[in-house]
Amino acid sequence: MTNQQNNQPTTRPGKARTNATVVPVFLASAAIFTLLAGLLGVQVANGQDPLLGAKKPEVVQKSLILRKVIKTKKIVTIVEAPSGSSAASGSSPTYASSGGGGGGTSYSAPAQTYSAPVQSAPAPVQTAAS
Amino acid sequence: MTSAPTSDVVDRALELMGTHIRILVGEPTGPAVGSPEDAADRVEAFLNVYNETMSRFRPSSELSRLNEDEREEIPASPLMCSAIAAALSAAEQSDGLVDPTLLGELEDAGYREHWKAENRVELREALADYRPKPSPAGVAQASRWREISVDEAAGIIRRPRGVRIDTGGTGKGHAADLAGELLAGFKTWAVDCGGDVRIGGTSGAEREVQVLGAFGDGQIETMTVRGGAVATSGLSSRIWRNAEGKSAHHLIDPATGQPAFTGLVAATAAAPTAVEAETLAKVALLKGPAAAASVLSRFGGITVDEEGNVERIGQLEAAPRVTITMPSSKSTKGSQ
Repeated sequence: MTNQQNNQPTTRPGKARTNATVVPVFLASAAIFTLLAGLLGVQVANGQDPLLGAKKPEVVQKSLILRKVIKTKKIVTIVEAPSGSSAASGSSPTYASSGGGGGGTSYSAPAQTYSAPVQSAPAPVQTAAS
Repeated sequence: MTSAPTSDVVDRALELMGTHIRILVGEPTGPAVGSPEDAADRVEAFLNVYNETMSRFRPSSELSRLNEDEREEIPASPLMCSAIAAALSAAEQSDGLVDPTLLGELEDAGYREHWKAENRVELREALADYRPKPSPAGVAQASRWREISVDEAAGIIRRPRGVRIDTGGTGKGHAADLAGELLAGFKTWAVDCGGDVRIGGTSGAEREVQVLGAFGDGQIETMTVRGGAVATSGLSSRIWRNAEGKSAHHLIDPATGQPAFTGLVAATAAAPTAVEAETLAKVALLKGPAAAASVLSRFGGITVDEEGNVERIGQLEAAPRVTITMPSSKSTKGSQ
């Protein structure tokens, strides 16, 4: 018991030493933090964010030569004789661009006319039970 | 009457083979092909020959003579051999549902002579008068078609004595397919043999196929076809009252030998050829609503049931490159 009472004062000088070393350590840590933060800030500002990895080497773009090819198309529209039922009625249609007459079922190359294309599609057909 | 300009130079309609025929021919790919008019003439002449050869109503036709022949091996023309081979192919593909040996049953149902339009009964009226409980058609036990063979090289058809043949709808599809071969050099063409439509052309242009309703309700769907075939099989065109006053029609259930009432009144099928389309359409109709979707799913198709409900089946974009555009319809339901 007596020994315990004697030992108590010996702890006070130690505590004083601890308080004395806190301030320099704190200042040193703050300085190191500020330095590192500053360096990091500079690095990020230069586009070298360490989280994004090393900066990729810039791709040297090759010059691209574009050649413009202009094709000229002539749209040839064959003007047809009006379609319709022919054989059933006994008429004799011709397949030519020139109008009129008829006169036989011979096929001759139609005269070519240059004009805007006519939007014509095949005629519809029907299916039903028969 | 004016109409929109079309790429078809010839649009010819005629009555033949007991039905309506339409021949459409566009521009030729070159002068060597000949004129569309001449090509249409060739097709028309061919279809006349086909009719004269294959009509069961003409006693002088090759088919009638074959059916009356007592021999089991009968010499036959190349056209006859080809037509019977097509009918057997349809029977094979349908496992016997499309049976070319049901002529006796068809005659017993009342279809003995050329179809007369005045005998036709309106479908809705016929169904109201007589509508047995719908059931899928089945295969005939006898399967007489399996006993028929064609030697196209030798020009001989073999069949047991007494087995008579009727190519029926398959014949129309076969005629359309062969007619199409005569139009190979044209940019657009179509041959419609009573609703069995074969479509082609070097241009690959799309042609609209209007599917007409079974109840006289006009156009119910529209298909757009670049090449291939579309065919419809249905009750409405040839339905009559038999001697007992009951409704009868020309689509015979091979299992019963009676007109088939399966719940469907029409089926439309797309396929690469008109024979295939006709076969698929008839099989779908004979199998009824429950199985029609699986029959038509490959190339696509449309069914109409006894209530008039229209069902679209499949994507309709297989080998014949078919697409379908659907008008908005309350009665239309999609299916895959």
